[in-house]
Amino acid sequence: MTIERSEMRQVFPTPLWIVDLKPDAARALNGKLMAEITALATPRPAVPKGANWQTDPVLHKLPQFAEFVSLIEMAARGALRSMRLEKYSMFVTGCWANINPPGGVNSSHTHPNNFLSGVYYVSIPQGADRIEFLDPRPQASVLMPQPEEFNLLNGNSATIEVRDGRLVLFPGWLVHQVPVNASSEERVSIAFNLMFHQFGETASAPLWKGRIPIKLPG
Amino acid sequence: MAGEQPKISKVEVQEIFPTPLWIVDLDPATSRPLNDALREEIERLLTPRPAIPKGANWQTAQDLHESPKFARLCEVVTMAARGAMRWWGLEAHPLVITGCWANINPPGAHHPRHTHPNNLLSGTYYIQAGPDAAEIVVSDPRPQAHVLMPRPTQFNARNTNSLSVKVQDGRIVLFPSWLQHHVVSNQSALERMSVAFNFMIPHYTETLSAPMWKGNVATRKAE
Repeated sequence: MTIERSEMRQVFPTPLWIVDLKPDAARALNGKLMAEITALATPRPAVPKGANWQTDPVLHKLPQFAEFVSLIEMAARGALRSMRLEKYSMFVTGCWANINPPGGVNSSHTHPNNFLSGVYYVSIPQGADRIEFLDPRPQASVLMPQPEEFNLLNGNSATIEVRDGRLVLFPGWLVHQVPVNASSEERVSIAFNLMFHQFGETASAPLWKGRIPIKLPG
Repeated sequence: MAGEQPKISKVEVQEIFPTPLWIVDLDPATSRPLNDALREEIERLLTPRPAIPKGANWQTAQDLHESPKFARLCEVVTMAARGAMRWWGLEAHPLVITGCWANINPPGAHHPRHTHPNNLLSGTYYIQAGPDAAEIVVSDPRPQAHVLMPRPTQFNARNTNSLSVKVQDGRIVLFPSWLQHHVVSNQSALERMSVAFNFMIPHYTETLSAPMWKGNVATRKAE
């Protein structure tokens, strides 16, 4: 055998950004957020079996969530830096609290019209501490021979463990779902979307120049 | 040019690369006795019911197609699958059932989004669909089509990213195995009972995986 070197490259990775607050900061913030969410969600309207409570997606417009919004924006700037997109400015376009009662699920979905989406975890009981992301390459699992062991290279979903004070950011197009709350307590999180200011105006025009230059009038 | 009324001679919209869903309803004279027999056998297989977490479903082993009690159902769904193959222009290929299992969704249970790898056609037969708007939901297989999703005046099959198919007792729903589908939480007070199955062309690799084209340089086999 005359192989000098062998390499496996992992191309086109899908990023997930996981940001953990320091425990003291998380406890303080979560105490405040929990009090605000409880105030907003009392009394609870009736919801069907397996469903969740969601506030209107306008928490980012309430002054009592301003500190939280600046946390989201900081995390989002970090994500943009890691993608070398730091020249763009972003804002929160929607922000809502989710309360998943025991038995509640969030079935798989994406967040159209937004670049980044994320969740911050306020109160996560044991047995409800996961979020799942589905492989965005649907053709990759048409053939799926049984591996010795499922891992990120051969599976079609990635599970992230979540806990109080954790913020998870991901591309808005990435399909995700929250499995059933198998605990006997409520699972409380805040979800949000971020998009660029004036996106059509700053990014939709072609990125290239023609070989035939044109001088515009005026 | 400006100000002139445009004169269009023809407009055509082509809907290309359609994803097929086959919906086959058995005549009640066929489905009623079939469903009674299937219900009884599935209840027998699932008694006693093992404990499952909240929101989960009961599923039998996946070899029901090998049991004589399911022979009639297999005959019926195979007939439906043959029809799908004809529609596809694939009637020259044989099909075999590679897996067949019963699902019982208790009230509150859902079935998250999934596909059926390593198979060509998948489907479900509904024994007890439930009294109200029971449905199976299929997701658009073009994920990039909904990154931008301006709000339409009205959501329809052309501008949405998922579609629901109503299910009812005696209905078979067939679809390509790669199509993502899920079942929303059972909102009724009744258990939903269905049988799911996968079909594949036998000897797939041996008959179909070699290239379908010929080179333009004739190659003689080594003697």
